[in-house]
Parts: sequence; C-alpha cells; structure tokens
Amino acid sequence: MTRILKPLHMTDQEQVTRICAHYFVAERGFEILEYHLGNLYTGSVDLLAAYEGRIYLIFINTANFSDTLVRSLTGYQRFMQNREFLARAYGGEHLDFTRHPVLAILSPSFPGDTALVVQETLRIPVEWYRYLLFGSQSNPELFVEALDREKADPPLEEVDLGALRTNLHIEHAGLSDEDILDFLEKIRA
Amino acid sequence: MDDTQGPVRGLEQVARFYLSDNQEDRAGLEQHHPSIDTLRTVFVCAPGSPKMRTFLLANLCLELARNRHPVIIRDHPGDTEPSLEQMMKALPTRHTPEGLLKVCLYGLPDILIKAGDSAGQRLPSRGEEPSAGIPGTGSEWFSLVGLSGSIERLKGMGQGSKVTLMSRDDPMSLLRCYACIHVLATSVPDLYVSLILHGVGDPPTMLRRSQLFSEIVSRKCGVRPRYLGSFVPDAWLEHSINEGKPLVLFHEASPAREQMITIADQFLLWFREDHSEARVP
Repeated sequence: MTRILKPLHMTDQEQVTRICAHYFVAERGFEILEYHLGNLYTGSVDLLAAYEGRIYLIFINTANFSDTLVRSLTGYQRFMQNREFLARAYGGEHLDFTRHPVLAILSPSFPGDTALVVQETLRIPVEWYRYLLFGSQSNPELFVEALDREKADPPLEEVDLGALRTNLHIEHAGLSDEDILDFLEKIRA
Repeated sequence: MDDTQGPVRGLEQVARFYLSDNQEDRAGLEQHHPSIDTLRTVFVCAPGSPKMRTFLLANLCLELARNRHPVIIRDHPGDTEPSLEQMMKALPTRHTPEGLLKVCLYGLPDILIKAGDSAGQRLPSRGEEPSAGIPGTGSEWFSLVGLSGSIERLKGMGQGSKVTLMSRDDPMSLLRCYACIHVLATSVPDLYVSLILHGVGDPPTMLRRSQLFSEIVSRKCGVRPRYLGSFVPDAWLEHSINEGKPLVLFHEASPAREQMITIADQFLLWFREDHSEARVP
C-alpha cells in the first residue's frame, strides 16, 4: 500500500540546521566547521562548512525566503571582510580560504525566478538546495534535492587547475592540464 | 567480547543467511584456508571517502562469507576515521593467538581482521599479505586490503592485480578517481579495476555516468573499469555505522542494503568472468 508522506512544517531554526548539517556530513562528505557563525547584525551563517578544501557558507530558510536571501548576502559579505581572521580561527592546511567560498541556500521553495536571477547576477559560486521535512517533530525525516548541481560547477575556462590539483590531492598523479580539462569536459557532458 | 554471549548474537545476525533459497549458501560449512598462490587479493580504495571504504569492507566481507569465502581484511583508517572494529562492534568477535581479530558468526567461514597499521607502513605485495597467522591451505580465501586515496600510497603498492574503487558520482570525485587509475595503470602491471559509485543521483543516472567514465578511462589509461553498481546512502547507513552492525546484516529491507548486496554479487562475478576485455590494447 502506498504510503502518503505529509510535509512537516518546522520553524525551529536550531533543529532544522542540525538536520540539514547531518545531510551535508553524511550524504555529501562535508566537514562542519561552525554552527551559527555571526549574529543578526553582522549576518548569521547557519553552517560554515568545507568540502574538498573549499569553504561553504550554508544558509537555511525556515520562514521567509527574502529574509534568508538578504541574510545570506550580508553574511557572505561579512565573511569576506573578515576572511583573514576566520582563516586563522578555523583554517587548517587542508582548507583554502583564499578562494571565494560557495554560497549555499536551502529552502523548501524558491519563489519565481529568484534562483535564476541570483545565479546570473552574482559572480560568486552559488548552490541551491530544495529541502522538505516529513515525519513528526520528534522524529523528522529529510529530503534534499540539489538544484542545478552540475551547473554550479564553474566553466572549464575558469577552473584554477593548480588549486584543483591541491584540493583533490592529485598533484603527483602525472595528469596534464589537457588531461584534466578533457576529462571534465567529457564527464560533464 | 563475552564468549558466552557471542554465539547467541551470532545466531541472530546470520539468521537471514539460512532463510535463503540459495542452496549454495547452505552447502558445506567446512573452513578453507589460503595458500599464497590461491589467495584472491583485492585492494579497496574510496578516494576522499575513507569512511565509505571501511563501510564497504565491512559489508563486502560478510557477503563474501555468506558465499562461502573466508576473508582476511587489512585496513588503515586515519586517527579520526572509524575502524573496521568499530564498524563491526555489534558482532561477536575474539582475538586469535596470532593477533588477528576474528568475527565469530555461527556457520559462516572465517572473517579475520588484521589490526590497522600506521599509515606510513609499507603495503603488502600480492600473495604476501596472508602468510602471517593463517593456518593451512585452500582455494577460496579472499584478502581485502583497504587503501587510502593518497596518490603516493598508490605508487608504493607494488604489484596488485585487482583494485576496487568507490567514488562519489560528481565530476570532481570522478576526476580524483581517474587520477588514481592513471597512477595505478602506470605502476601496476596486469591491473584490473572495478568501480562502485555512491551519491545522491538515481541508479540509472549513475550507470550512465559510470559508462562515460569507463570510456574515458579505457581510452586514456588502457584499463576498462568494471562497474559493480551504485549505492545511494540512506538513514540505514548511519544506523549501521552508529550501531557497529554492517548494513547487510539488518533484517529491515532498505534500498541501500539491497544495493550493497547487489554490489557484493557483482564483485564475485567480476572474479569469475573472463577479464580479456578489461585491458584495452
């Protein structure tokens, strides 16, 4: 018999953040560096995370998308202004604070063409995730869909091959620039 | 581990094996022991996902045992990574006089775990691995050796003929996987590679991507990876790791468990099939 899942509306930002953090760690292999970085005035980053050396600023919308979008842009700018300090506070040899961090926004929905407009107007890397909660408040279940995940990858001509080799730890693999670009072009096809 | 409780728990854990319709599963409980010539050594590597490597080793060894193959495993987890012992902590175990950890599941062949050595220790050459601590000879043993995804370590692995790679399905993870195969292909004669993908994509999409990956790699490296299947992690993966009970032993059906069993079946088929097409002229 088909089981009908009913969406769960959860507004407790703390709890939703923990649930989503679990997704990034368990499903995507992210490392969580900090929960709730900053404050309302400086822009609060829900999750400061890293994946393959790259920094991710993750924002989770639980109520109003517009507020979350403004909060994410404010938080991103604040991060860039304080990047050197944050690199000292959270940095390690495996983390690259010199590159632009990825702005990741999770929301149950994205009104209108907001995602498209932001994607085309911002020069920073942005990733979108649609999430839905099911189950009960005490035992929630999470569904996450990465939107345009492949398109979030930078164009090949913008790929910094030196940084890429370092982040993937393949500096000594003997792959030429042509090998890497050819591979990426074909595997993304 | 308390010996008196071990067999009881062991019975519970392996109950599903004896509910199988597969006669081969039930045939013969005699133990086989390896000789250097007949041991089947497989190096298992999950570049960028050491936890998934250990998870795969834990589940693969149980499925091999269910198919009447005794197994010895050696893994090298990092300081912050879960060890095989942790992944299997819910199972009854005991230490052998030779210093190996033996998983004691009633009716199943031996599963022996060699404690993790320091990451810098030399990797065993083919046939060298099992010689310490395993009595007798036979023809059915598998030796699974966990490899870190470090390029330097791959260069130093010596002559090993079969490598199973587990990778996420995104382009960057596959690029790292390609780099590993590139290094192996230039340093290991008679190399055979199999591939397992995991990620958030659906299995048909991952199958298409694996085909694309195999085409690229066979053209560039002269080795055609054999695709063993995909694995989409779900909540049971975390249950499995947290409880220290390999996923294939859960009674509850889950897509991830079925996928892991299919992968193990394909792994065995990979050994039985003709490998003449695995190397590209």
